[in-house]
Amino acid sequence: MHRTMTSLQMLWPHHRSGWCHAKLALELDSWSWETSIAFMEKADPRPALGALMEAYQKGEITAFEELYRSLGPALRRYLVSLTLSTQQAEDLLQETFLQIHRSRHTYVPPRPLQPWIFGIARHVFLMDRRSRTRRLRNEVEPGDELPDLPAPNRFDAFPHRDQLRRAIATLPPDRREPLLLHHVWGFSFKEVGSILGIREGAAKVRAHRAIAHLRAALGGGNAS
Amino acid sequence: MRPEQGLDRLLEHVGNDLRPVRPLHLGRRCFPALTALGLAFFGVLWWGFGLRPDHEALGPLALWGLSGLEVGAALLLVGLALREAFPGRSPSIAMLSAAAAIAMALHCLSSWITAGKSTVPIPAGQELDAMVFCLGLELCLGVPIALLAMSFIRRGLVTFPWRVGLLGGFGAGLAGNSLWHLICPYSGLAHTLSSHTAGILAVTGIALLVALLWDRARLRSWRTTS
Repeated sequence: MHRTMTSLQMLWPHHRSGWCHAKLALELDSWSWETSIAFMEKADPRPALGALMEAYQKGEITAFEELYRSLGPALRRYLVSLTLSTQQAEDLLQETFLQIHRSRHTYVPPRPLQPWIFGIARHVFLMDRRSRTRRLRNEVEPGDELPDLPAPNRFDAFPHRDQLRRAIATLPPDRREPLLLHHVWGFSFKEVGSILGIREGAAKVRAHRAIAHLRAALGGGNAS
Repeated sequence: MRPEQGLDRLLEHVGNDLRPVRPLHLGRRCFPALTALGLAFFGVLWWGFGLRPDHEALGPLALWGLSGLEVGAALLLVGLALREAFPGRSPSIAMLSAAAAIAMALHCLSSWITAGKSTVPIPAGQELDAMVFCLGLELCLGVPIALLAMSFIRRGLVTFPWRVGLLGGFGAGLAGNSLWHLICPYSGLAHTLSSHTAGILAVTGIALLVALLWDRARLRSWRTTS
């Protein structure tokens, strides 16, 4: 089992103690490779984040700062995956934390914090999209401006990293979200379903279809 | 914008309003309020109309038991609607559909059992009057229940208000019907399946409309930071 330390220092929801592994396997025509993503957790982050949130609910501003530093990068990348625009994601990140502030009373300890936070981010994204009254287009920015979509760190050595990121960007939103929420941010499919308002089984199916889409998109490329 | 700049701006906003808040326990507030309202409605109905004339023929199980079942189904639907107030806890569409189907099946079963135990027909020529009367009463009972439930749910952060309207409205309509089941003098299956079901669906429709209007209003006031 390959283990790769992520450089993002993100805190991940976990469902068992110790290392949390997310395995993303793609089989291409003539070769197959597996990527395991292991994330080091700061010794069970849920109580730490939950405690921070409770402190924030009690009015501690330092707790809010700590939450921003802990969860901001992950939320930013999640919003990038939704908006496909780093600028828009940055705007929505600010609005997300403002909404977190306004809705801090809706967090009920000791429930997991991350589904709640990501649920708010998704709410902000949907409200923004509706208010702009435009359809979400799966536009891929030109190569130089490709948004920094989440992709496993191991792909740094992969010669077709841009190709993979471009393929992820072209996924339909309803498939891209479950794929990234589960395989990159480590939410269980049950949690993915709660965030997106779909069944656990539907979340699995959509993620599986996303992988099939990626396989088709990458399998026809130059694998050398 | 650099992350630190973003944090500074946020701290400026947040710092102006950092009063302590208590976690929102909607169930602990909403259900007692709904129960109190339901009991108040029942008191008024009992005082105004009295129990249905055939209550002895129905017996306690068909009278109170079936009402209790419908109330249970109503609370289940309202409970699912309450979850919409909490981000990241939305029930799936499949769960909502199953709950709604079960609730409607219970209502049909209740109507069928009641008709089987005591069929009190509507006097000839008064079918339309009876339909309008029952429909109006169901609306008078169900709509306030729906509005009360939605007023609680609004305290949270709702991403899909239409779900709140559908679930809350259906639950409220069912709750209103469970009360009216104790009073309505007519137990014919055709009457209950048409008039009472229409009442439940009408309450659902009104609640959905209210939810959509609320959603439109908040969408108009939506701003993102620049």
